[in-house]
Amino acid sequence: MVTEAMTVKETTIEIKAPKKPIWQQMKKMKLLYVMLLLPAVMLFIFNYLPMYGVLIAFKNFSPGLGIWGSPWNNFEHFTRLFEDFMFIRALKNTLIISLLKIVIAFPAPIIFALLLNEIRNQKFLKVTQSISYLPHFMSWIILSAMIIEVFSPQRGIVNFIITAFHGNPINFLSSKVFFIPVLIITDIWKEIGYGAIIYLASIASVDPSQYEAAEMDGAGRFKKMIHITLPSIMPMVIILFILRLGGVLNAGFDQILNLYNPLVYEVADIIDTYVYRSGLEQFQFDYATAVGLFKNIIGIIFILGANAIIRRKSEHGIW
Amino acid sequence: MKKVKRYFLGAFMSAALVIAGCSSNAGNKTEGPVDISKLSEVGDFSENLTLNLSGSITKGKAEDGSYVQKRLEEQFNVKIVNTKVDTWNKDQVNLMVASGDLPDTFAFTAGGQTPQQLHESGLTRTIPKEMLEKYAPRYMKMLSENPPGPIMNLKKGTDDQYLQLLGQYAHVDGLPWGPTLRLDWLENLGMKPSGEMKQVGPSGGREKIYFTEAAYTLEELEEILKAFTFGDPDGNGKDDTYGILPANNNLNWAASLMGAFGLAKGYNLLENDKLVTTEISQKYKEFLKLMAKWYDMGLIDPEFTTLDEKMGWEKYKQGKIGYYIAQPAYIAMDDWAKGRAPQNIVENPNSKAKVLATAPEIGKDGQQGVGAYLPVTNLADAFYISKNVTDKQLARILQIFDYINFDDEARWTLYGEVGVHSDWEGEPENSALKVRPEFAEQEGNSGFWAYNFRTYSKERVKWFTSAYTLKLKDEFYARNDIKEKMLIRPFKWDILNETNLIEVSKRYSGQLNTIVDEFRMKAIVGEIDIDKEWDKYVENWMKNGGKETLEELEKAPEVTGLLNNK
Repeated sequence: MVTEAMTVKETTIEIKAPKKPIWQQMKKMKLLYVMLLLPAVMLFIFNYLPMYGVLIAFKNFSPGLGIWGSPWNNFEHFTRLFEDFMFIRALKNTLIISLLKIVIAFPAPIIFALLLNEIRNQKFLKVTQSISYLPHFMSWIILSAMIIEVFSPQRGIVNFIITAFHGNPINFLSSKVFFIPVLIITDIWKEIGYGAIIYLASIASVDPSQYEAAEMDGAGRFKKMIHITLPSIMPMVIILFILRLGGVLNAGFDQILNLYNPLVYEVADIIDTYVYRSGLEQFQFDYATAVGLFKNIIGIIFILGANAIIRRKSEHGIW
Repeated sequence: MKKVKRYFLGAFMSAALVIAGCSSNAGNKTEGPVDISKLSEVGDFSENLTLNLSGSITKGKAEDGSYVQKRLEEQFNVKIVNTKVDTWNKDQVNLMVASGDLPDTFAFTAGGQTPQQLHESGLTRTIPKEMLEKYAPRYMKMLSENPPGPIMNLKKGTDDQYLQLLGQYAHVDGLPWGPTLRLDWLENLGMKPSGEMKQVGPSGGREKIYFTEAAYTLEELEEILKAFTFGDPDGNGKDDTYGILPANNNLNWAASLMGAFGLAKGYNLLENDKLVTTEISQKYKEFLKLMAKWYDMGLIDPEFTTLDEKMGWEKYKQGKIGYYIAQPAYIAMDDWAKGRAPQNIVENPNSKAKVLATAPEIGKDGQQGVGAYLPVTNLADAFYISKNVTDKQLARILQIFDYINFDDEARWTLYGEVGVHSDWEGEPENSALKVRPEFAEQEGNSGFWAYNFRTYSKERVKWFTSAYTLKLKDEFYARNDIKEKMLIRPFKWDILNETNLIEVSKRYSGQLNTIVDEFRMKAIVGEIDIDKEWDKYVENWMKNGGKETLEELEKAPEVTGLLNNK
């Protein structure tokens, strides 16, 4: 059966005017393009021109010779990366910590947002939200001092509880077993509230009629959360997940640098901390840039790969 | 659309090439022979010059038109442009160096590169000896009085072109560290210290700090630490005290303990006729075994693994630690050392704590000492001249440099006029100077220290060191016989830059430090069996740059030879 709408659509296609050349379209919207010029120039100057500096990853950089004048080094920095057993260890640690954070810490704000959405008492909701946002605004240098105190084997509340139950105090931050769990727990604690904001905004845009219809069908709050809220925010979850995968080689430099010590290097020394000690502190900007470039390439591969897989399995994705 | 793409690509490439051209500025146009006769005479300041000056202490806070700036501008007929970079901030310094945008004169407290690297990078110019002799005679006199000063930091292949200017470090003369114990704990435990105890000072907390020339052996110290840990020395009825609290970020805490094994961090020694660095020596292994034993006995605070030196000072202040390392200025309670252990335990006027500083511990074979702050001579630091400085400007800079850093009449550049800007802390000319509160102590509205280099003759040390510290140093820490007996120096040192140690260190120090730090911590807390793991550790160290380090060190001259040539 041919509907009226279909007929109209076909007609529209038929009467569509031939596409104008780009320059004519631009001329027509010249004022808009002029407005775009300033941010575009700014973007070019501050975001694209500095990319030229990535060249030093392939050179023995000497400040006096400048970026272009410094000699090429035949991929020496990249060769060095993979000859250095400590870099390999740091790469392994980075992947482990990062993937654990993705698996455990990434869903935490989603669950938190879903739970917040179920709170009916507005005062309690606001207080809960405000308290949960607070740690996000504190730097790791401040938080690390607090964390060291909380987990102190002598004064910390955690060990106070352990000893109250006749356990032996645990030096969490010097233990290869406990250090990573502490990293993940404190990361969740710091970011759970702030990370939930974007999901709450997404939840707020869900059409209320869907909930009403579900109620009519006898769905309870849990069923509504699972079958309406969660699927509604799924596109947002997927986009953030793909972007998070792009940072898979960022395992939390600030957090680890402020909390680790040589006793846990074996599990906690990540690429960034190792390069900070062996590269930046020794004025090896070229080497540090090579590592940065390596991280970015891996990040892009992860983003493109994850996007392609998700696209194939569902209709969501970034591109 | 293709056209648009091409335009964008073209624009990008052009911009990149322009920047490439701009950023490439190799070569030192200001080098080569100087015709000194064409330069102005000493004291001829008829031509006004603009100079962008930065000193050693600069934190980028010098205000334009400050007291010192105005006086210097008038005296030397120059226009001074202040630098707004914090030269104590490693990141800021490294960025400034990487950008190549440097002031005419500069010195860094943190970060930067070595003199060779800066010069090879085309960022600094050389300083001709002839110009120094003419325009900075006091500086040259100081160099000649501190051999091998005149032949240090010469550009390779020259004997009259210096890469940098050097500072005299009279303030670090003598033993930089010494051990301290809680004297009130010793008294509570009925352990009478041997030797004559003298109070460091009469008041201000110094009356609670004592000093003795007597020293404990390592065995005696172990007994004391045991009593500190298990004998309830503070009498609170709780088992909450520890003998010793190390730091997780350096080895300062062990300076005298390592000295009892004849070791100093970062140095090297001859062991069984073989050159080794401290960190792979058998003596270091023995030191680690002793620390591991003490940890196992419970004498070491287990929390040290998460505390760096500064956090350790805070913990010491809580009054639960019995042993701590200290510099003479710490126990003399000099202003700059406020808050540091062990003086922080007596800072509070109501504190009942007492501290006893002793001579360094005595090891098994009678070895006793501490690593010298500087390996060979008391010359250190680096004052650079930018590559853009012309000979004419350099002549003026050197005259300013020589005056403000080596003429004691220029004390006003550091403290202003006594009685107007500052006052003597105690006896005039025999105690430290204190800047009055209405003036900035450094930089700011006063401009004090803004253009000076970190170079201190014995006379200048008096201006910022309390009479108590000077007395302690005179009586013990810097006494000639003590220095002779207890200062530990490396076996070899590349003081004349004859090897590639700097390049090797730049390439491998990150890896080597990681290996050493990790092994040290694991060894102390008993995570590894030192005897079983030692060979593997040394092999790992050698494979990751240690071999190259030792090969370069072999080429360096022996320190004894350098010292005997004085």
